[in-house]
Amino acid sequence: MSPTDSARSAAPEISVRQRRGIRRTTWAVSLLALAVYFGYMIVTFMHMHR
Amino acid sequence: MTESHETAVHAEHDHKPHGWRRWVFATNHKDIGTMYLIFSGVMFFLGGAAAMGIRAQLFKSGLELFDPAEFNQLLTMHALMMIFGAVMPAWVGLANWMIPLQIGAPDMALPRLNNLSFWILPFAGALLMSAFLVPGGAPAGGWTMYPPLMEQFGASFPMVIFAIHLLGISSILGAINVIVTIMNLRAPGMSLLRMPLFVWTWLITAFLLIAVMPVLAGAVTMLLTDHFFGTSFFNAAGGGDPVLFLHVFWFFGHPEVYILILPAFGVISEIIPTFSRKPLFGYEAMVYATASIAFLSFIVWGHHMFTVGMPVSAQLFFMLSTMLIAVPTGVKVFNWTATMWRGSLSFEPPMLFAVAFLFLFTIGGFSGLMLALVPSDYQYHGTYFVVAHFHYVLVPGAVFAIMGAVYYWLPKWSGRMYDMRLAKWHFWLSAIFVNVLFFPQHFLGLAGMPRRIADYAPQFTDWNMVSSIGGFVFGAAQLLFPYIVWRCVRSGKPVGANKPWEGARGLEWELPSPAPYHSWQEPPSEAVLAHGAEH
Repeated sequence: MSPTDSARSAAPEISVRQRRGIRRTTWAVSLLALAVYFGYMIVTFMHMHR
Repeated sequence: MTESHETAVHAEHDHKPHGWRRWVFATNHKDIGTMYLIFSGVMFFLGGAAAMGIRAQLFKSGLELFDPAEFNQLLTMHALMMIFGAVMPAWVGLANWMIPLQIGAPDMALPRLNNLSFWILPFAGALLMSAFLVPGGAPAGGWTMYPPLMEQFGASFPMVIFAIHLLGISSILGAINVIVTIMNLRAPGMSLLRMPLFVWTWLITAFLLIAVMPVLAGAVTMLLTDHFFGTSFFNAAGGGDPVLFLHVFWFFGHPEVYILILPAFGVISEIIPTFSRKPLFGYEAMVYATASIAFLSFIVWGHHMFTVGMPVSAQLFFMLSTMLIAVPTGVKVFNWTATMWRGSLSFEPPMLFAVAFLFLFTIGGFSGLMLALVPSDYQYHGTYFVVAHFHYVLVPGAVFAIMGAVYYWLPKWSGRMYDMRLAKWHFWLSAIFVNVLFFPQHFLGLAGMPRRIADYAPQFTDWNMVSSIGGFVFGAAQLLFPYIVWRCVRSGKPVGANKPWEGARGLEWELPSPAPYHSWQEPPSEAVLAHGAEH
């Protein structure tokens, strides 16, 4: 069984709408995590140069 | 779809990969959940071994089983292993197992990301542990990694930072998966306010993880660049400020406490109604209380550093915001008690752990309130009182909830019942000796014994002896746990078609036990949803 089959068999009933939702939520949450990471670095950096 | 086609498709779905491929290439949420729980168990016993070393050293004043540097390494690594290796992965393991079952989803939304988030862990754990083996030994400045102390450790410094990065990445990926799954794969009809409390608390925990793990990553990255690339974020000589690290670290650190405890609230909210044979009292209030606690956790970090020197106005703000957390927490404790009120109670092992949680976590909460008071905190800060406080929150709090959860859902996972008598022995030994272990530490702290010291003045000996004896018996009692689980999985009595707990409600109990390898291929119908509805 290839990894693709395995992933497909793990979630066979996902609709197109759900797939779109999954893609959008994944992007949104990942960008949030990145924004926090860089946001904190920038805020700290600004603190250093005050 | 024709019937024969449907049968063929289902036969394909029931196909289970065998051998090492099943685990290395795992995309099934149940397999990944199991691996997380096993990893967490291994780290729990390694961290526990370090704790035994700490308690052995502190058994008597003047004992020198370890030199002070080694003792501080044990102490630091005990905390890192328990927080990042044992408790957090245990919750992610339980989330993997239970969230798809409880919301009627066929799997986690991102199965391969799930595989990645697990498989990062063993490497990160190995990297963390190997810090003991390099010249100079493991970091010994405490899990809080305050500069400049943290930067004085040799080769292990970048190793631990890298391990923390990896553990953080794993947690963030896990959190992304949980959020995406809950937001997109709930069964039709499973509205947000119909979700089981364990799912709710995990959704909120996942947002906390997304919001604070990158902050920890940022803080340790700055430590790294200060050490190797000549920056001076936390170096006063270069214009930086070591106190800044405390602010950034505790902005992560306090929500981290709730990352460890919120899923515990979810588990307790599942167990108490089951064994009270009553719906949970105040479901919506529980959801809002959890969200309030999560929000408040972002604005209380200063209470960890009252003595560092901050304006009185800041001290007042952090004191009052911290005390405010008692309100939603009080709502929770009240609602659990009200759920039991006039219920038809029975005390199987999961319920025993839940009731112990209720009493002992509340003790940890109360000592937290004492620590929130600025004038008192000046006395308690850096003493064993603080050690007693957070161990009450994390051991009979988070760890008891994890054990209760395993005893609650193990029959669902394995299809077999464990040895109830042995599990009760495990509970009573744990519940009694956890108090023998940690309660005297309140007295030691109030009497002025500082934390993180390898030796102490002789007047502290008596309570330290009591605490160490409690620790040794508590530690030994934990060996029962893997034995009970192993014996259950191997040769426990099959639970058959009946629910193992008659009062259990929720979609997971609508599935057979053991839960099939692929579950909820078809979303549950409204009738099943209503039958399994918890409230």
